[in-house]
Amino acid sequence: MEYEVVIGLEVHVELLTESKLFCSCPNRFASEPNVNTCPGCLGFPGVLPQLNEAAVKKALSAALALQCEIALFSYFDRKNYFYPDLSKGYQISQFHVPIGSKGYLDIEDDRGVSKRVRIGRVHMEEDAGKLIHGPAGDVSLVDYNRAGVPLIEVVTEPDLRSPGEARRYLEKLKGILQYARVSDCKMEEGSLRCDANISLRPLGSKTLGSKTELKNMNSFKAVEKSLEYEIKRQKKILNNNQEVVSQTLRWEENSQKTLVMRGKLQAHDYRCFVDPELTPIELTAAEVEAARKVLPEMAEARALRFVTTFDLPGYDAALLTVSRSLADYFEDCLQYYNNPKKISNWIMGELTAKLNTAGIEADCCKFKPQYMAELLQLLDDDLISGHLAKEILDQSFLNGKSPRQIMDEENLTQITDQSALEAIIRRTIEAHPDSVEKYRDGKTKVLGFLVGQVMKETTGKANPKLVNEMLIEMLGN
Amino acid sequence: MDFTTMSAGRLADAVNKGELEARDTVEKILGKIEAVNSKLNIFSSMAGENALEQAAAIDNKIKNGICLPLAGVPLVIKDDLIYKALPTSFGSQLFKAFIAPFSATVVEKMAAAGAVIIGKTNIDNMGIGSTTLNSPLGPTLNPCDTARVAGSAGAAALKSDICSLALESDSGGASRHGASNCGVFGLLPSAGMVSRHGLSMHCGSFGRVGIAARFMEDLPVAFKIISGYDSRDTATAAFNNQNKSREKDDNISALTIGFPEAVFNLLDQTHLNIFLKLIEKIKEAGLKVTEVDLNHLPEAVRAYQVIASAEASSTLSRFDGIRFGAAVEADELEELYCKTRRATFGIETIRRSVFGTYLLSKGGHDRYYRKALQVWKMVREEFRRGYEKCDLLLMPAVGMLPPLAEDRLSFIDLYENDLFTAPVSMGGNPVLTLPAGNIEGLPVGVQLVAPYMNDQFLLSTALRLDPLMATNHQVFSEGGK
Amino acid sequence: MNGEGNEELLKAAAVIKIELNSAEMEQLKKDFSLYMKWLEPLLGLDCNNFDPLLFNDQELNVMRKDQAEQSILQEVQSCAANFEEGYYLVPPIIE
Repeated sequence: MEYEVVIGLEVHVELLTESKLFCSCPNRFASEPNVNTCPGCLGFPGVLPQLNEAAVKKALSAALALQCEIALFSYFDRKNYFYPDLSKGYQISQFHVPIGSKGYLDIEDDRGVSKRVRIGRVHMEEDAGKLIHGPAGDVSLVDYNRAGVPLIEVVTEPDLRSPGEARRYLEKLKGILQYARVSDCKMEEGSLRCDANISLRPLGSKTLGSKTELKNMNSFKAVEKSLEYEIKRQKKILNNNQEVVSQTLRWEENSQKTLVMRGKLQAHDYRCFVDPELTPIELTAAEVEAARKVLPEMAEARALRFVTTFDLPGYDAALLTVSRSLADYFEDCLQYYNNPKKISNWIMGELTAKLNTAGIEADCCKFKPQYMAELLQLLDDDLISGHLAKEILDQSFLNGKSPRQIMDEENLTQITDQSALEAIIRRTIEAHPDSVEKYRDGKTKVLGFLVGQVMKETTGKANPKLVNEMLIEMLGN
Repeated sequence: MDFTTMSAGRLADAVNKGELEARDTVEKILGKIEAVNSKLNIFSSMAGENALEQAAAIDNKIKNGICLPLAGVPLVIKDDLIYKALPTSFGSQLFKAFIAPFSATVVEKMAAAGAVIIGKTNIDNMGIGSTTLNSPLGPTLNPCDTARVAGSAGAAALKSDICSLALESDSGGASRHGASNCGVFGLLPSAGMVSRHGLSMHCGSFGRVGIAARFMEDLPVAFKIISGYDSRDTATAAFNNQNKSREKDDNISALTIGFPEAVFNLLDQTHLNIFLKLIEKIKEAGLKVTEVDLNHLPEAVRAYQVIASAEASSTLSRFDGIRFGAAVEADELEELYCKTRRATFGIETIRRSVFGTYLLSKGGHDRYYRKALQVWKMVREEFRRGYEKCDLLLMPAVGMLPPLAEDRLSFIDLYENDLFTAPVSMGGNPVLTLPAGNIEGLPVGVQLVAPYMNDQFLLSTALRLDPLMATNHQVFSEGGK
Repeated sequence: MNGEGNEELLKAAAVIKIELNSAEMEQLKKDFSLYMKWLEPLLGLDCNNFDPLLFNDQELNVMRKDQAEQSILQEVQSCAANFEEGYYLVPPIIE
């Protein structure tokens, strides 16, 4: 039996504002619990919500960036339920009228063909706090730093058809929202959270199968893996002619499987009603258009600009603009060094791999744009070889020291002094008579070995090109 | 100088001029407060000696040449308004020692104006009700008849001469019932005129802060102090966006007073007599009087209850024992919630929370809650049409005598008593409650209701009408004239 | 009151975390019955030419500038019955 996989994603994204959605507590990471709290976000009686205008602007930008129709008139509802991390016993959200609806973004399906993923709604809501479980299991701990942080919730229609599509959707969504300066979308830090709904149905069927909801994935990869696991699990059940139970499952990263969430309550009746303590939001068509116009340049437009302004190949431009922070990094380098192609080569060739391995964005890396410029300048000035440059970059990426500082401290200047090299080369030639003989016999490839030996003896500091030339000359004698 | 025969304005004047010290007034009050309180059960907490400290600070300021609009005026505050120097109980035993980390805007304003805070007045649990029969401390008794309730402990305090002003709250009629029951004056400013920051509301759609006084002329003074834009209550944006009040010429006979013809069906004979006598006085004074159609008051009060209960069930969910309130023993989360709320809430609050939950649920939402919202719109429209025929509405405040303290009236009867006050709440209109007469020695008041945002018009008109209505612009304590 | 109404009432009490003993619950059922009866005139009223009133305020777009402020934490945290080492404590929750 062939099955079609149907996936929908609900993504919560924390907005980049100075303060929370309904109170003036700081909206930023805190290493101590309960420091960014006040009577408002703690739900004290007598405190009324005060809507943050920047949050509305960011939500509008997000909705526009996701091609949504904008609700010119929207308002806030109360979603009522009890949980310790929900300080008022209700969450202020936009249940009835989201600020954006009927949007989309385009991704590639598993065959590389472009497809449109419809976005049903983008709405504003406040975040809840965090619940931590005491190690002895005798108490749970609540931290309300996150309570009241402004969020947008982005909900797709069930248009995704594979775990790969889900991952690509998330990557694209992240790119768009970063570009729009709505959020930094860092799933590992919790500023982007994803729940997935997945069901299977016989190929060709139009009715949706019974769906399960997956939670607790902490990376895009985990989303993909959890969906892959769930597909296998559901297929097995359906192939046994049994029914998939509609429930909420928790992805366990350690054991790489989904487990039923204990204690998860049945479907809530949230008893939503309009919050009487907040005024509605009314936008004019003119305001919306103005917001659309000032949307920060999106990825495709930026790539095009890189091609036309900096004469970069399309391939380079596309890679550099995948994330806004990388594109920003590239343009920052240009402030200090004037060769776009060289910068691009070094970013694509060396830097992106390091960023990926370290799991950080270009805006967080210690090898600043100024350092890239400095490194390339040192290369231009022939003070270091390409080989040494890579080594310097390695170190700078880890310790944040400037290339010049590393070069001086580690004595990594390139040896270009011919007389110094001559002695070393002579010694190498004398040490490897059989290689020399092979070379004189016409096996020119052995030159590489000899160059390598010189490089070894100079701990990589000799200029390989110069060594190569000098070897040829000296062996020729 | 006897502050009990002086308006708050006159008292402040005397203190500012050095004719009287704030201290003198407070001492007199402290001398009798215990006796009054044991008789009438007015206070949930008293400032005591601290009131003298407040007075001393004010006297000091006066000596240094500072003038304060309410210098030395003794003030009581309803216990659903937060004042951080005293416990705020919200009418709940679990909060009897609760010190909040901030004070309400109106409290801060009153203190800055020179008022001396004497204490927090007794309220129904969570501020829900107009009788204080649902207070864990028992009801506050009426100075005019101690077998009956006062309705508002602030009004009882005024009538007992232990303060000159009272800060009140009102959703369905609490402050207006209190003023009517005790024969004092009350002002409920338009929704959005006065900040509710620091008022623990059960119902955000209708909850407002009000004032009570023994002298009608103190109402505009107090209104000026407490009203104004406060960024902490977004509804007060209305204050900055006020339309011009209805301007009418100074000729009072150009005014038309309207009253609902429904009173003939809805009031008993004794209450109707008082009301009609007042209408006669107004006619005799040369003003035009007209009947208006407010034919859905019974449905309106039901719609009010549905909305109020629905909102209460949600707004009071924050009382879960985790971030504020006294401790409750619990091994499981469910136990923490249930035990905390059982200890926090009284029976009426429980009714509203549970019934309100049903009314918002899938089973009740469309039939009741949504319907109530439609009726709300309809009632507003009825009032709007009424104001096409008149400048001010005169409405009864209550339809029955203040309940006996020992009587166990049905909660439905108490809802019914909001028949004339709750519909007015639904319009956010400004209301001035004034004494209109007596039944068996018990005061009965009426509501003078102006169109929304016409608070200045209401105040100036009421002051001009006062001599005509001969409603006695000042009231004396029990045993007085 | 019919059985269905009672069930709704029990459900509502559980949802809103109100736990009553059997005598109290019996009384609440009676009260609910009276309440529902009292609300009947509301159901009977035809007001279909009126939309539900959703917004009490006459105001729109009342918003606050995006500025962060720190509150005085000690005062706020001392209001809690169970606050230790930076956290609000609750009975253990199984997820």
